[in-house]
Amino acid sequence: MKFKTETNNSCFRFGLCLALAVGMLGCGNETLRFHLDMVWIRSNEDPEVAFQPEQLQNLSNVLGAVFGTPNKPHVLQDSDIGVEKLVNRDLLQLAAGPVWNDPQGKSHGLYRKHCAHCHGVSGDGAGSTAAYLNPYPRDYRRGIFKFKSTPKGEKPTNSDLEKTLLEGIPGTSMPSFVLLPDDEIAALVDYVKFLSIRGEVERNLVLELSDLEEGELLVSDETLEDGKELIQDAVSFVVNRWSRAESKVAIPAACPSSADPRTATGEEMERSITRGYHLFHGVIANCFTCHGETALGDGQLDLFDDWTEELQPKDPERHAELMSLAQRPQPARNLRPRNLRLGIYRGGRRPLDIYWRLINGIDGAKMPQVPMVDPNDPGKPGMSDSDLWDLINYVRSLPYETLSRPAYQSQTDHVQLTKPL
Amino acid sequence: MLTPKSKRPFPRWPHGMAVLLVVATFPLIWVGGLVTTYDAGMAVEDWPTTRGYNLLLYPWQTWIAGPWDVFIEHGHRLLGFLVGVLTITLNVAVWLRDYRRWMRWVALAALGLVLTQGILGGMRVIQNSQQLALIHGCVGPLFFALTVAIAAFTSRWWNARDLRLQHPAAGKLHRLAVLTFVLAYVQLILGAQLRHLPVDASLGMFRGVVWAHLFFAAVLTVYVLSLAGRIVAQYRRLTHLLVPALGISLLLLVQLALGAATWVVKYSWPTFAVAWKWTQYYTIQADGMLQSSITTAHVANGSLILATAILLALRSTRLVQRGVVQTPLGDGYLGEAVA
Repeated sequence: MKFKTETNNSCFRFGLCLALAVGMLGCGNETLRFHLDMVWIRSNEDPEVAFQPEQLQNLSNVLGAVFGTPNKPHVLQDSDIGVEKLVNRDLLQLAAGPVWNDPQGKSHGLYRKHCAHCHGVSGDGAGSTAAYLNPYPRDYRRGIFKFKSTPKGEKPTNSDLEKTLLEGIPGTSMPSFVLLPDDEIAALVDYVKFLSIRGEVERNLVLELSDLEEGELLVSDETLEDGKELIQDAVSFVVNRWSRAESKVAIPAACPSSADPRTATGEEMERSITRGYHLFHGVIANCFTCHGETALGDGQLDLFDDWTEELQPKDPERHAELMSLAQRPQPARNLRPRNLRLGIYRGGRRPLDIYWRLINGIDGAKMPQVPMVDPNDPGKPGMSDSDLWDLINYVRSLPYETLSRPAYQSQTDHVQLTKPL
Repeated sequence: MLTPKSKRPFPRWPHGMAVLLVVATFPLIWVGGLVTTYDAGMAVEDWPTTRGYNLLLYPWQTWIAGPWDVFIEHGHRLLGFLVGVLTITLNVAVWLRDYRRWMRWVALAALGLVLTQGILGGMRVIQNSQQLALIHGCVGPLFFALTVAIAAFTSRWWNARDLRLQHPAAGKLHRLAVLTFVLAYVQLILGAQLRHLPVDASLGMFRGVVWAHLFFAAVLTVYVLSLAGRIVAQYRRLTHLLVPALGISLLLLVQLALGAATWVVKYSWPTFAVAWKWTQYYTIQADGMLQSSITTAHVANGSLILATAILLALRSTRLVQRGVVQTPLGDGYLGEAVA
């Protein structure tokens, strides 16, 4: 950010005086830095031998050398690692830094303009507004994203992130950016990936740091030469997982015509929905446990998502410290399973979106992948592709189903439905 | 001096210019709010030129057909230029036709303020500074309030003789009106702070400003309703007080609704509203028509409240003074003012 104090001193001084007069002067951000993930650091240091400040400064320096600063981010130029294939350097510059337009009319500082107030400059989900939002803004640094086309544990594709940006998430503070031009959406996607990669690399380096002797530095040489291998390993481990995302997309199985709303007769659809009803309450899909007998989202309510779980050590004092470091107010919020009768699905309402939620599960949110039939192990209970579409039809019919439909009353009933109709 | 005794004709030009200035300044405030809403303050990266062109020579086709953020930023600059010219014209009118020395200084102060505001806006661009944007956002409404005050000072009724109504509780009315103005401005500053929060502001800072904004909203509501209630109860025959008193009450109610709506269109429904299922259907659209119009209307309406508050403060001190009730007064205009 430009600050020509020597040339515009008197005017700036006048401005300062005026601001002081009204007693409301904001803070400057000329020296913005990415913050270290102190929750992860505290969680991984020996409680009796904390990391030394020099070690943390060294970690910060290493990360700064590899990823730059919020005003001047950069990606490691190393063909062996391939970050530059994942994150376009030009798009990164478009999304980073302060908000301004260049003479060609291109908007810069897109992340700060649209995202940082909630997700934070470091992508830690602790922007200034975060405490008031429900759910809290996503912390990208764990590299976990909920709504995607890839299985649990895998990274999202660019299309998955674009979809969330374009459609927003109903019922939350995540807006739809459908009015932004395509290149700005692409720039934001790349910047989110950049922050996520940076965050995960930091977590990996902290794990390395925890293996070192007391006070030992991660990389002793300022030029990073002696730590090149360590850094390459930490970065490439994360980058490889992002690189394979496209190949991990779950291709939906063909929907049988008797379960396809476009081709099925009314009677066939009714049968499909009834089969889905039994699957929902059966012990294989096991949906009722969390979503409740009536699918109102009132089943298991005492779980935490992965981000909150990290703040839940058994020691109450440590819990309080971690909550404070994460800037989350007490008490920690429990996961709320979706009320499926609302007809609002945060990851999208298309049958395909629901298919992905079921077959992939939802990362970070305890929603498991439904067990599918394993052709190599026919004895193992699981669902067929056809079952999956029946379940999708039932879930999609829930907003229209009367609550008076008899629910399963006992665990015995559920067990009996191990093999549904 | 401008009194009937001086036998000078009432000069309409200064008042006409002042009213014109008020009318031109309000859209300027509105468009300025729009610039902040769209974060378009840096849409044009140079100043006082616009993309290398003289402000007035920037090709209008490029402006009209260009990107939305450039359209509103350059439009804001043009409106600012217009308001500057009108302020100069007002000064000419006041210095030529209004012989009150203090009035001339007030007009000059307006000119100084509008020039300062222009420079602040320019420096905000040159330095890409959120702090200067915040100050620019606070000075704008102050200038708007000053233009309303000048319109009041130059009006016919302000200059008429024997306007004052004696009332034993006049002091309370004056205090209430002045404090309402001060509170409205503090509230406006807090609102500006929220809109110009630094990107790295802490959660505590946001929380503090939000709660302060809510607290002052409650205090301002009490003051506005007390002021309006007092005027309705004791001075309802003074239409110059009654009309703005009812007006500010209405504006306040609208403002409270707009404030709540602004939160919803920016941050969605608050946590307690999750229990209402229908709130879950709403998806915020960033920079959408609903978001930008509600947020900007909240800003502009805040300035209207400030302007009405200063009008009430000035009119109440002009029309009512402390003393024993006398009826009828002067020309009978205020004779039935006290109920």
